Amino acid sequence: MAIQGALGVSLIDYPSGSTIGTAGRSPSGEDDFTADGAARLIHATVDTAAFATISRPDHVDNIVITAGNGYHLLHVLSSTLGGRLVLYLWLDRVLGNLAITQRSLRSISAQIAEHEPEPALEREYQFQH
Amino acid sequence: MRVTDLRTPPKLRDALEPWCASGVSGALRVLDAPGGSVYLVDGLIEYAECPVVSGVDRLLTASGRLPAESWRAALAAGRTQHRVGAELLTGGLLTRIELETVTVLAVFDAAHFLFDTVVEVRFEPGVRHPLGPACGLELRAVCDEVDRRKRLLVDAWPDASIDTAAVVPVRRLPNQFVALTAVQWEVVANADRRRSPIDLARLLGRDTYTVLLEVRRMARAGLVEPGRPGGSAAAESVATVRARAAAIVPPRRPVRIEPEPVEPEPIDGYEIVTALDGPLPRRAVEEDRPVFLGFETEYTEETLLRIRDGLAALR
Repeated sequence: MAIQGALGVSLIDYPSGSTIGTAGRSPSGEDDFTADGAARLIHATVDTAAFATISRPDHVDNIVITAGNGYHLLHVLSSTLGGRLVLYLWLDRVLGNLAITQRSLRSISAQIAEHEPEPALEREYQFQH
Repeated sequence: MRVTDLRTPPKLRDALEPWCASGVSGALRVLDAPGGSVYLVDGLIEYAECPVVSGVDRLLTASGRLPAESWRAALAAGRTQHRVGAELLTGGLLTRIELETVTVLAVFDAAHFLFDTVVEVRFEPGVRHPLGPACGLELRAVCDEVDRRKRLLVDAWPDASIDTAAVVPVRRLPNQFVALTAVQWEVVANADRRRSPIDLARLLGRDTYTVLLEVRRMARAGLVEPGRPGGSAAAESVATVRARAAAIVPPRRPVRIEPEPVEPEPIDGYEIVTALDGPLPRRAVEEDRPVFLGFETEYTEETLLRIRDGLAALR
């Protein structure tokens, strides 16, 4: 993993609380509990009028929790599928750097939202064999 | 009524197990209602579909993510070679993560309605879905997810009949203001007092589970009420399958049939069977269908004869 101090990462569909993909470890030891917890956190934040600015449609970018077992970063991928995907990263408190990680997450989510490059070159390469 | 088979046929998830364990590729067709297919590639679930839920096509087009023409073009180009997904990716219409997400959601959604049903199945080796490779899920993982989702639904609102009943938003709020999530807004804005959550999910191109969950959450918050049972074919199909499933659940206690059974109150067109220790209500089964009573072999002939007589009295 390119992010220093990253212990685990998962991609979660928060409306359904389902895990789409995962890598590394998970704080609860089970991905389902992690996805459930992440989904509930996003729901709680979105449902809380003071944070989500009621009567004015707005969005939540990310949620950071500082806990004894590390930092928990929930990054909403707002440009993918109407913002239903959340990138969850568990970061070691000693090895990880919160500010740098948040910047990395932003660039990772931009990469995720990018379209595939045209595979024309790949096809040419295959023809040579 | 003639009892033709007393064995309990396996649930679909159990029927899938040997095919997944042996690592085969092909499609397991569900022949009974609600209908559908599970596509396996090397023993992994590549796609699953069920007519009552939104498939990848609706999740992408009805939600407004893709224009219908783009989907049709990709389908025409990639259908025969099972590379519709690849066509969407190379055309720059969809990112890989979006394709994988909607596919996984479609599989979980179909599995939610198929895996616990007792149905006749037929395996067709080598058959592949036109979408092509977008995900490969282990049967165990899908079963766990189905169980988790069912648990969450029951936690939110225990009565499953709300899934097939019309969504009726309450006329007045129980308090001064309310904050809705995007899905909840879509549900309330499109509820026309006839559409059930299942119909709304198809209309909006949302995955059915999310809509079911949000409707149940709103019901708990006092924002919507279950109305009349949904009139659509999809809602009726789900209600019928559930009534049938409830009727063939193996009883925990011995079945006792009263000599003069009380007619159960019909609930607008379909029946819900919950407890089996009371009189057995009539159930909607087609003629000439084997009726599966999930009894263990320890039931004596006498018990079975009494059940038969009891059922005959109810007709």
